[in-house]
Amino acid sequence: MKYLIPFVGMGKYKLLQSTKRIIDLLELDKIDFEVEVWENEDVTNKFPWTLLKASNGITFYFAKDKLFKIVVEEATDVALENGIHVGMPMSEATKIDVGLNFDDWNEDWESPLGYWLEDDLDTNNVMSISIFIKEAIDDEEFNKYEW
Amino acid sequence: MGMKASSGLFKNTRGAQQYELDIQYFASKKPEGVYSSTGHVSPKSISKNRDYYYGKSAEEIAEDMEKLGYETSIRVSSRRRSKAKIIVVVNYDKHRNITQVQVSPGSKRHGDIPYVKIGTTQSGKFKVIDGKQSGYKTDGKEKAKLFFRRKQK
Repeated sequence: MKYLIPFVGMGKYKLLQSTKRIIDLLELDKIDFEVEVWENEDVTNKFPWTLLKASNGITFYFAKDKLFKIVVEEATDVALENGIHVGMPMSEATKIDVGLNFDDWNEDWESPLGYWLEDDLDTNNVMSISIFIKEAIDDEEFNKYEW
Repeated sequence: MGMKASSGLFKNTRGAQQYELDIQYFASKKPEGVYSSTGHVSPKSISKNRDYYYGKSAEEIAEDMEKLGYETSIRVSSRRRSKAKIIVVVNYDKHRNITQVQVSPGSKRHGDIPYVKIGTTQSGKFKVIDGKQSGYKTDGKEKAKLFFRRKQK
């Protein structure tokens, strides 16, 4: 089992590492991936993002060549340290982490421990888990790209 | 043209032509329908003019809002997995009552249907969904007032 550590990363895959470093790690682990670039031309502070979409259901988000977010969607061998994982009933997740709070504007669950969960409305299970750098908590701070 | 001759600008610049912008020319080109002349939106105006939002980018919506006096910046959401953009208003008040606009290409949670969510100072939140109600997944607990595409007659 690989563990997601908020504000830190997942095993060898650390937040703020470069795109090349993460690609090297994926190749070392023999995990295929696709590269997607979001130009973000219509935003006020224009910084393109690069996404590495790994075949194991994990997506790595980069800006300024720094890994700022890891999103787990399908991987069954990944969990938070408290045991929450994709596919777990949301009712169970909210018992494990009583601080989980539904954010109506973003339409996801935020934890004071430093992660976000999305719930699947068909199954009522956890659909995705995101960990991120601290600056990503505040969109305004994040969009300054001074990190 | 939107310019007129002016005196008094760049007095010491020899040979330079002197112009100032005719602000009235630009201010007269305001979007209509969903907004009142002061930039105010209401559940009724959004419901009636929901078509305004279909297919519009965050940039286009922000441009229209700025014609009505809104000061905005556009951010990319660090939180969403989609390419959602957020228009943030810095000078909202009781007239210019929009605080934020989220322009989403759709999320897996709701069935990948594009939508625009509008936050206001006192009237709550509105979501204009570019699709039919039947294709939209919801838990029925959304606080935003939902507007779907009208049935074609």
